[in-house]
Amino acid sequence: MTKSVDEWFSHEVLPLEPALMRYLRRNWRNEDDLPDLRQELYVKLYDAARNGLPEQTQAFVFTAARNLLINRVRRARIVSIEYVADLDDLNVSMDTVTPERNVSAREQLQKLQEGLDGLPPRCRDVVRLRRIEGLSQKETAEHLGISVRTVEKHMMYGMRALIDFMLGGSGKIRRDAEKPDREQAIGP
Amino acid sequence: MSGTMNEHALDNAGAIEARAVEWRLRRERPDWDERNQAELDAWLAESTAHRVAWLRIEYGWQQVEHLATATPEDAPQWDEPEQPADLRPGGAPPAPEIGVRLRFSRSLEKRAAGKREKRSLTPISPISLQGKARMGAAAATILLTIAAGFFAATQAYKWAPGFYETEIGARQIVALADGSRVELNTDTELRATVDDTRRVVRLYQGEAFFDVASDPGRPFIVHAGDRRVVVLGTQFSVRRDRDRVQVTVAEGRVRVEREKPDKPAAPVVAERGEIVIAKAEIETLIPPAPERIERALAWRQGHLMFEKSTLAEAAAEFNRYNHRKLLVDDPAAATTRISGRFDANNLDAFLRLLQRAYGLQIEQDGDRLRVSG
Repeated sequence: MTKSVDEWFSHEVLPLEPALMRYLRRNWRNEDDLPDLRQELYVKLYDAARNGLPEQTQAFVFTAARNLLINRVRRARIVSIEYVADLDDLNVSMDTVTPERNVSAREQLQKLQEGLDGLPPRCRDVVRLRRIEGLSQKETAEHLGISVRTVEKHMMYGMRALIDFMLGGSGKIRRDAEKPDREQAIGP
Repeated sequence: MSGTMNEHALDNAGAIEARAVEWRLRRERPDWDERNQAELDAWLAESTAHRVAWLRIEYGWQQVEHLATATPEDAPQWDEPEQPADLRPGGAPPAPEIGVRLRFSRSLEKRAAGKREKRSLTPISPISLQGKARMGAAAATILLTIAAGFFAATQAYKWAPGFYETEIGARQIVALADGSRVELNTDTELRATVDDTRRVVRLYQGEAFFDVASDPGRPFIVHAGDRRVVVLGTQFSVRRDRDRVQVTVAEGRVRVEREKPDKPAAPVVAERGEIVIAKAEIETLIPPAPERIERALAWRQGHLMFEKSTLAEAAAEFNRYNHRKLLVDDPAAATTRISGRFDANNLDAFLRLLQRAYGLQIEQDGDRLRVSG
């Protein structure tokens, strides 16, 4: 039975994100770069998988992550040595990748609660009413005395932040979606 | 600078993620159609960066959804940690904890079907189960719920208190973390927030009876329309019909204030047996009369009581509790005086009475019941 690349990606790669983010965070000094690194990695993984799904997803993912960081460091080194102290630090043996232990439902729920608590108050209200209480956009807007457009904006931020948090990120989203020109950080 | 294809993804991961969430939100709107789907498919096909961002958002979304709607049946390990004993420091297995069970009485399937279901949050803890047994006879629609600030019994979630609502004809009792109780009448929507520093209820529509635990350090405040009701510890009901707010005091005292007065206005203090009717700039204080209080609070037993009310008024009251609506547009019939105590949900009994005792005619007119002389 052939699995589609989408299924493979969703079922085997994405669950690794918490561990992956830990790895990236440990090995890359600039927290702000992490979403971009992750994105670039995911694109590489997906494109590679189009030519054939890997046997061992975890090894595949972390090897690719390591290579990505190495390449980035090589480019960054030209400008600054601050990104990674030593290329050797990047060597990752599979043993050091701590597998996700089975998280109990309670812990998952606690994590969700934490994620919710980390949201700005108004945003949290909107997310709670929409996602947990199940109100419609219009009902939510009426109850909070705000416009539907504002409800949408809060939902955008809230879902991004919650998803980021649940997948091992910080839960804080930079609202400026367009990042400043990256060319400077990477080199001539 | 080498311009690899991935440079683009690099610069815009945040923007792409934002778009993916936008798409995901848009897909939930009831007016999502094939054209939208085609647009989404086109956006996904544009680049792998779009596709992986989408898959990631979908994955994370489902995680959140799944947790938000978890039931004890879905999470059988609710009270038992899954980690095997030998991995735990010390090696001893933990004693099973009495957890807070979060149960949501709605289902995802209903939501997916597009129906808007009214739902109630029913966290059930050992405390509440005992409470339910003590309640004794109650209407079938009454549910006992506990809204969190804090649970003493467990280290559970500060599941911030929320939104409660009742269907037409239903009633619901909510127990707040401070020991206060709120009874929601028919077709009511309110939000309760109780934490260390404050106790606040917002009554969006409908009617609720409050049995407030005494706590001078935390005033209990009910916001209704442009009024607020401030109490220290007492029993009273607040009913809101758009901009008309009625406060009925069963025990103790309340202060009814304007939220944002254009000009300074003295608050009205009402005591046991009194009723305050506030509308626009006017508050009317109705002097104590036990029968009036009884009539105003009869809904708590599931009854409607009228004392020489016009049929028009009585019909309007019944309409709050029933999906089948009465229409009284015959002027002569509308002035008929009705007295008595009725079961709010038993519209048929009321109609029979109208026919037999008052000689009125009832006709089905579309989805209404027309009453005439």
